[in-house]
Amino acid sequence: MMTKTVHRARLLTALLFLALGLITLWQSYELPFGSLRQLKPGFFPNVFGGLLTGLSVLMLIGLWRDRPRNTEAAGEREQDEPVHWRGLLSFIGIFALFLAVSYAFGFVIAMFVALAASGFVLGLRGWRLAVLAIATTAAIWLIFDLWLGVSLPPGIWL
Amino acid sequence: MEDIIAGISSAFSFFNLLVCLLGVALGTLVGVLPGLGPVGAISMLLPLTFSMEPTSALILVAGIYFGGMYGGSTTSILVNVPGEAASVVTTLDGYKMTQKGRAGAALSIAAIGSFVAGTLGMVLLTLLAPPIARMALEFGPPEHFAIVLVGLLVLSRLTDTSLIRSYMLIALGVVLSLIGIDQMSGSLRLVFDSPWLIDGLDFVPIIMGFYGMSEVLGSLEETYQKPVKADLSLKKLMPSKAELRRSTGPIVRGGLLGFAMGLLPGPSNILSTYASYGLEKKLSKHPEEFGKGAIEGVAGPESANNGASTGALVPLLSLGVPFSPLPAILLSAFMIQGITPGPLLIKEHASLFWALIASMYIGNVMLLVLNLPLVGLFAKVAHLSSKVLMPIVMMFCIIGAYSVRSSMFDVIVLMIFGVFGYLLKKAKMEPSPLVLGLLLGPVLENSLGQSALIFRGDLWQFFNRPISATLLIVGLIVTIWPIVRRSIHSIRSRRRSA
Repeated sequence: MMTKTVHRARLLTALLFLALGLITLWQSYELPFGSLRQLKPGFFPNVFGGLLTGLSVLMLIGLWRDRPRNTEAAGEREQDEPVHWRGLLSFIGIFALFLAVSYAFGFVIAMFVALAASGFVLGLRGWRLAVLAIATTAAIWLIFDLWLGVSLPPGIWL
Repeated sequence: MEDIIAGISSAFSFFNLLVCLLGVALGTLVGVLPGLGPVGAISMLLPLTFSMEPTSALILVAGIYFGGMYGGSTTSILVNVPGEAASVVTTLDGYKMTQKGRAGAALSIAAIGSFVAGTLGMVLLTLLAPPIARMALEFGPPEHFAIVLVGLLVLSRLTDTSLIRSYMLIALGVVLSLIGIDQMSGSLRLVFDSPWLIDGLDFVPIIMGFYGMSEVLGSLEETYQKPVKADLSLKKLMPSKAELRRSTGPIVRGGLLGFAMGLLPGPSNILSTYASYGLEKKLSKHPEEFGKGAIEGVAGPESANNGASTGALVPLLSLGVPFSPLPAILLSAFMIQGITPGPLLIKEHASLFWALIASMYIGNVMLLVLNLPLVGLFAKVAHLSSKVLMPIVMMFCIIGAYSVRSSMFDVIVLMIFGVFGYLLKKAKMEPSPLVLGLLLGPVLENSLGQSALIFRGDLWQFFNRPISATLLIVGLIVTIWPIVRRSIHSIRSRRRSA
């Protein structure tokens, strides 16, 4: 029997897939479908959008049947691994910060800020945090910008 | 005979040996960088060959080719970030081995397997290139469609026994691959009037999001399994006798399977890794170990990848036709030097052909010589504290995603699929079927479209062609049989309980 976290995650996944399937069908509705003689652009989106929708519904039915019940003995339950919301939201926040700083001040400075912030969230402090942020930023800039010629965006203020 | 001797002795000249070593080293270094892989490595380092004479230039490219392939598997094993699509399968068991303190053994087996499979492939290429190339030409769009469809149906179920979940993930992968411009008609599909989606989604940010970023997100949890501190002495870094014994069969089978699949058009190196994984899981006496650190799960796919890359050289060298992106990049290297590979290559440039073949053997040996001693250094990376390693992994994923198309949109895609990958982790759903659908979706659509035109709508013609008929029937049986068996078992259980 699956844990509550697994069940909820699968439920969320199935609902997400169902939504994506329906959106695919909606967006592909006006595309020409063609025939078996000549497939047109709408053939694959409609077929696979339909498959995605149908399979998501089947998964939801299966999840309803297999939903965890509180009648199990504590010892029989698999160890639950709940979502670490604080960490997840922190990293999403760091990523949003990276995008904002990158837009304003450029990729290199954004890298430094994101490295420092993520190291801080993970528990790094002091000189170790500074060395991590500076050394990694320098290494990436040297390898990708100088050596491989991947031009890193400068930002609107720089 | 004189040309063979001239070619081989040219490959063994001091300068060309140095060039080969440089190629292997650079290829490994660039291949390790996430998002680049061997195609990226060769593309970026190709300008180095402009000023070289043809033999040395092609030897350099061959070294980069093999080095890039090995580099892609290093990050898969150490930090669960596949360096390229063909290294996705290696993460399933390679990273688990790292978490158990066996990173060195995993890396060593990947290097040894790549070497053996590469050498095996080169021998087969040398002996059998022309007749094999002629057979490969029998593969048209119908056979192409059949092999991709069967691959999707069968290989997607390697990691999850649920048909519904596996096929749902494939369906989403195919839908994601349809975003952008339709190759056949030029129509825009699923772009939502957004200019960012017109070019479609690149697979690199998606696989780095699923495997790398989701690992970064997971690192915050108490249950995060940090790699066990292992003894990093050379003796302990190498695979044990038992591990070597268990790896021998998978390496040989993987190399041969990969070589055979590399002869076929399409993403053969990706398919070959999945096929090898599935084969080894079926043949193993302990299939329950797969996905938890089985060495066969690293040995087989890595060998298959190298075997497929060598097999892909057969149609390139014999017919001048690249069947996948990697040989296509090699073709450009040939063309830059004014050489057209094909049936006349051996006649007109015999010494160059044999120098190239000899340098591939040499490059393979150098790969092993260069990377085995570095295994200890690479393994130390896995033992860095996650407080240090995870921010670095995150940043390398971001730069890797950005460097694909120099687009910040790909960085956003990386993050979205990172969160999605984390959700799938919580749901205990392995994302590899989705990756397979994403990579093979365009091939499936194009080959079905071309087949429909050839057959003029009569799709039963698939069963009139021996190769496609065999593949489709085998695929059908392999897909339906577990359902039938489960239904029979369920009926019998109900009868017994009644």
